[in-house]
Amino acid sequence: MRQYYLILLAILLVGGALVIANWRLTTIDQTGENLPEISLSNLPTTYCPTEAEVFHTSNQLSVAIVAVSNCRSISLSTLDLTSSETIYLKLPHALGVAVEYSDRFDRYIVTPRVGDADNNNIINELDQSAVLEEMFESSSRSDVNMDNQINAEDLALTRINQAVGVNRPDGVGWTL
Amino acid sequence: MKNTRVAFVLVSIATLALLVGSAILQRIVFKAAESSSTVYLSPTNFLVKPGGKVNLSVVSNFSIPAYVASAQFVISYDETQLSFEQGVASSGFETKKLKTQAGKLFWALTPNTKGGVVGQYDQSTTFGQLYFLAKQAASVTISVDPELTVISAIDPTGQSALYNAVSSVQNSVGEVTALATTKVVGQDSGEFIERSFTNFLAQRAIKDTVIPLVNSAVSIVRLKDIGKIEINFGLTESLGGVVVSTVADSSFVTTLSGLQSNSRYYYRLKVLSEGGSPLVIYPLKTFTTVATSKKAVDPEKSELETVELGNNQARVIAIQRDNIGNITTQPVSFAVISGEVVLTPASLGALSTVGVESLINSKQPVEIEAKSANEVIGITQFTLEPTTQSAATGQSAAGQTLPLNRQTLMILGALLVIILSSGLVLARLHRVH
Repeated sequence: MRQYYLILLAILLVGGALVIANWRLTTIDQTGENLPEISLSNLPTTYCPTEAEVFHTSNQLSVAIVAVSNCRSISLSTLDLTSSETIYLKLPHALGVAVEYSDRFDRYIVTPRVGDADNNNIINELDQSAVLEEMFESSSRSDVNMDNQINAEDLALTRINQAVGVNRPDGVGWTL
Repeated sequence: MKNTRVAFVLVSIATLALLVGSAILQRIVFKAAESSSTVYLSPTNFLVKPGGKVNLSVVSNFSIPAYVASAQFVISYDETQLSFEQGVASSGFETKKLKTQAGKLFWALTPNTKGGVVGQYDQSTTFGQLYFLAKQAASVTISVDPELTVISAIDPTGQSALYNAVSSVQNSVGEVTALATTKVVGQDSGEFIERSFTNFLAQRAIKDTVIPLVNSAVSIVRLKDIGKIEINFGLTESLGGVVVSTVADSSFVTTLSGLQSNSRYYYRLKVLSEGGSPLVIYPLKTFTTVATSKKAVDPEKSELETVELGNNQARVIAIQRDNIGNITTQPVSFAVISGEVVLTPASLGALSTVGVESLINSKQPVEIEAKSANEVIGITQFTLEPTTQSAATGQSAAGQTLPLNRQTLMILGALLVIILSSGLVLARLHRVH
């Protein structure tokens, strides 16, 4: 009787291991070149920033403009990070966010709010006005979703994502 | 002891089934709940006297409830025939921007819902009214730009993910004539009448597939109701080539010929009325013609396309591809697996096809198999019916698609095993006790 329970336990363990392995294989960056990294998710499909402003507080205050690869990945490997600290991040036309970094994890999934047309780290009526001013015109400064046109989608982003972004802890404004 | 062994085996099976089911379910990506809409100007057909008012509603017909954050409509008209008077947002919407330039009207609106920025809209939603003045006797067309018209909606299951709900547009055509004497049907226009407005929204394309070949492409279009189609195509967005159906029908298999291989083509489908006037205009799409292949057929990449023609007839098209997706032209043999039908082989450009006709005058399921070099490249199942019917689209009432493919079958199989195993274990334990 006992042997049956042992076999059953073994099946459960093997099955569980397979499920976990399957999950890891489908989520982990196989190359590992960019790790640790911040992975940007749930953004407009056309939104493709090339750079991000990153501020962190390792040994001394440090701010850097880092490249965004494939529109969605920001490698932290070049930053001099301690084992645990807060990283502040700002993307163009998006609100600033804070990420609690720990060297125990390789990937941080971040969803910035897009719609900051005037890049003042607040999405409000002023951003709506900025988009409306350029809508149906040839200008493209307020193209918040980066699809090379200012249309109802940009307007929608300034409406649904209204909020105030995280500021830099040194009190200096974001440059992006 | 024997009961314990049986119970153990059944519990093991159930456990394995649960693990397999879990692994499969983990890979399922639930399709977003996106609505699609046809934007049209109502009425779509009108008569008005010179100097009379033309009052058109801007309407969107949503397939499922849509959560709209903003909308923009770009509408073209001939300035020599019509002058734009004003645009008035419906209650529930507010105009954010309205601009006219060179015969084009640009209109941005948002919901004015109190306490929120998104409005939920269902079925037919009127965004506002447009008022024009008819200048002189002429045939006029007021058209909705299918590329620039956007209804920006939120997928409630995808957090803040936005999508454009506009999938097609429909123009409004009218006649400015002194003969238009009939009095009001519309709202405030004393010389304005509606006509031919009944049931037009029922008409649309429920299938629009293009199979790119080497120097041609085969378009398969199925309409909700009988009508005609026009396909414009070309190497640039200005298109240039055109194919127009000559007879009204609900299914069309059209060859776009004279194409260059390995080239990207633009095309636009227009659904016409039986009389030939445009009813629904779909946005620009693209396809890429392929290169000739002399490689072996890859059954995994090959497929069968079935066109149900109504009146007990259908056509099965075999699309043979090599391992990189290029078209191959090996001979194909078709065979009936089930159904009382007669097969008539034919060719469609580089594709092998077969006509299928029922031998009985009642509804029957049919299964056809296609082989190339003695290897099965596909099996298709469909239903033949005596009268012309719209084919089943596989779409549920909620508007979500559940394709009957290998993955779906695996999920259903796993769930069936779990249910059966659980039932057996419970029955066994009940007997033991």
